[in-house]
Amino acid sequence: MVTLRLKRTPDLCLDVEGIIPEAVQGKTLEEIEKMEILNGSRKVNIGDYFDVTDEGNSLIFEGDLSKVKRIGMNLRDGEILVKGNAGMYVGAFMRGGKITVEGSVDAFSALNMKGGELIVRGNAGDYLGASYRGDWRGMSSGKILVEGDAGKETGCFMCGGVIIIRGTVDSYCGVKMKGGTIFANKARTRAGASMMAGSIILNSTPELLPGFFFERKMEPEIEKLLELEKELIEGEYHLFSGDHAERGAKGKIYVREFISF
Amino acid sequence: MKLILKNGIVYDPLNGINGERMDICIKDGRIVDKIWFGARKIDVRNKLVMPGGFDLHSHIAGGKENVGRMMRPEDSLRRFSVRKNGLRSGSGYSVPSTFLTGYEYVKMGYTTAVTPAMPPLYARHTHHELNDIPIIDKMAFPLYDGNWFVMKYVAEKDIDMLQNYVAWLLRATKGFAVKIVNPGGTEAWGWRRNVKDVDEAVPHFNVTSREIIENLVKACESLKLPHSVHLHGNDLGSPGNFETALKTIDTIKHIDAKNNRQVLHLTHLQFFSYGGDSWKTFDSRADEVAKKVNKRDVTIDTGNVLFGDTTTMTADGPLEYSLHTITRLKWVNRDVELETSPGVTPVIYSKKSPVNAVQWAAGIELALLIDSDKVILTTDHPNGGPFTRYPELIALFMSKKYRDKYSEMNNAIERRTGLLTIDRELDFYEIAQITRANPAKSAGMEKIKGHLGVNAHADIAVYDINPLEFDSSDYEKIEKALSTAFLTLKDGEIVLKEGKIVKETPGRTYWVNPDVDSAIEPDLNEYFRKYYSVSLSNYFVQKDELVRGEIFTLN
Repeated sequence: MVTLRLKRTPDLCLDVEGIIPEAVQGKTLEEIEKMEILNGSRKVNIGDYFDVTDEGNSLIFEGDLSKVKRIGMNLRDGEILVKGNAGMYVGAFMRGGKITVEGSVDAFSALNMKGGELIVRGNAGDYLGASYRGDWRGMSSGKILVEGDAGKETGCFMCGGVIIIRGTVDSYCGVKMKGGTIFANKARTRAGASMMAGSIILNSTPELLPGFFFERKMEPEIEKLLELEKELIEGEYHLFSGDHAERGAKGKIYVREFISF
Repeated sequence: MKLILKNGIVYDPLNGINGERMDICIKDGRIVDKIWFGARKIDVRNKLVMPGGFDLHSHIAGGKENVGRMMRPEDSLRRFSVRKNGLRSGSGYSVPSTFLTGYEYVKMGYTTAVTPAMPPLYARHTHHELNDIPIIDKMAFPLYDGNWFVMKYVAEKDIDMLQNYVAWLLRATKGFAVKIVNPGGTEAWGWRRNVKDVDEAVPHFNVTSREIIENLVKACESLKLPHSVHLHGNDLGSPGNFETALKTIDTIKHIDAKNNRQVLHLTHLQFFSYGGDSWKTFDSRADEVAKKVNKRDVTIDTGNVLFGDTTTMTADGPLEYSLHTITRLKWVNRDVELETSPGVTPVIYSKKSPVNAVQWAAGIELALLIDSDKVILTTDHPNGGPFTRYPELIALFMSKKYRDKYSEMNNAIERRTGLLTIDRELDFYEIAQITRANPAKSAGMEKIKGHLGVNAHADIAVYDINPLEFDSSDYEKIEKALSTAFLTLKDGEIVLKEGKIVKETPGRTYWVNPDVDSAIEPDLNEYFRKYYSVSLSNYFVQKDELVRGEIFTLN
């Protein structure tokens, strides 16, 4: 459909909110070049910072976009491909469609996600799939897959959906979560702090918080969305319930082994 | 500057004008009888002309409002406006920032608003925030509920000193009227207790809630304050609290009105009109409360609840805690030294919840059942809903069809309230009463605010709707017309034109300055030295801290 190739790294962050497939559809290349984006607080045109061509079969961003924020924010439908790293707020508030990032993403990606799919081939920053600051109603549906590592407070206040991290997730993953599933190959400390419901599956972690009580050994119940990860999830896991620091908590954490790293 | 608004259809209850086509002449910020020449003319043919709106109870500035803004960043996501045309930026849906508050009021045709719960210790903060609210005129009511001075003088039955303290505090905080929240209850909250009834004693102080109310009302009357005591009674929001409300209204039975106004204003009465003995049997007793209000010399504001997401904030600490235990959402409690203890927590009023549906209906019942010269429209912003939703509320009052449509959503409205049996629909005259005339009169400002007679401030709202060809079943049209004014005039200047703010002016802050006897000083010195974290000399808000402060007197 359209490829936007970054000409040069901007001094200030570019904010491409609103540049989603449904907005560029049916527009000529000249019209797309004239669409407004923000550079800092200043309005600029897409053409000032991007080469616009009609290559590819989806909306494609190309180049080192680590200073480009809000790619695919409020996405409802269609596909976005990012060839390179992306900045903050990738796929924030998205309700549908698919975003694939071939590099890494920065913090607040898939914030308050309500549906759709985000795939990150590299690493993700902090607050992946978390709730907006202050909100107690976080990610409610959809799927996030990170092939590398993820940052702190991944899936905080999560209510539904699935987050898969094939690498290591930093501390406080699934903090305050109320539903949904998080899978991580490795997790640093304090997974599921203050969680009320939902489940976290960890292949290895150094320790759990004292609010978690051991229940039994079992194979984890795997949701449909997690089936692709079957080869990573195998064998017997220790099931813990918690976090009993909260009243009436019904969360579950499955841990295969406890290793310090 | 001279201006004539021509051919508008005018509703002005204080002057008995009910939908007459007439011209309004404005000169130097006031309304005058006639202008012979040199006036700019604006034709507002077939448009609704009313005095500027007056909101008697709206938490727009102060300590807990700011806490609400800080604790709800997600609320700012729901509404924000960027800086343009010389206007400031702002954000917030249920707790809008100061500039946005002013703009949103003006957009609805409101020109005066009261922030009704100012902890005296946060008076300086409140006034600096009020300074930042543009265009509209403002007032602040300091809190007297859990105040150690008040309770001490009431316990000693020393009415002169109480009166002296009331006057001193109004002066010190640049306040306008006496506000009481959960009398005694906020002090009891310091001991993790509450005062649930007017005859319950306050721990460690030999007083009851009834004594606090009675004595403050008496003090208010002899000080000749423009507004009466502004009372948020005991036991707000719990099932079966209507009996406490009836007793609270009866506390003023023996007190004669000395000034030409009510002796007590009951605020957000909807939250006090519940029957039943648990949340399962929770129902509306608005009819009984309304009967009592009609009998006594009081005014009320409704405090309607509207479905949706909002932030609750009151100086009633124990109430906010009990709300938090129900919703289990984030909660802030503050302790203001010797004075009060406010709390803040978000709340979602859900259409599916029978309790919320009863609350929704009870507020509308009150507005429809109480005499229209006693009712004032509020949502207790932001407790029942943000003030920006007043047009929706007005449409509900005016259209039975609209209410019936809502009522289908939850059968609790039919089973537990009497709303569906009420056929009354308010007309524009009555709307002008409950949003303009009554609040101005209740605040003692009926000479300059809330009407369009000669010498009134030229605060005028013009809406793009023809009230003479009005059909109550077309509620969407009412809501749309009232949510964006066609013209808003403040002190004779056009501040809003066709929904866009064209001029930003600083609004006044009114305060009262009653006489104070120096006999109060030894007590003040002692308490400030012993208990307060600030010194007496730092406590007093100076006159020049108010950008456009104005002393208001009854004469």
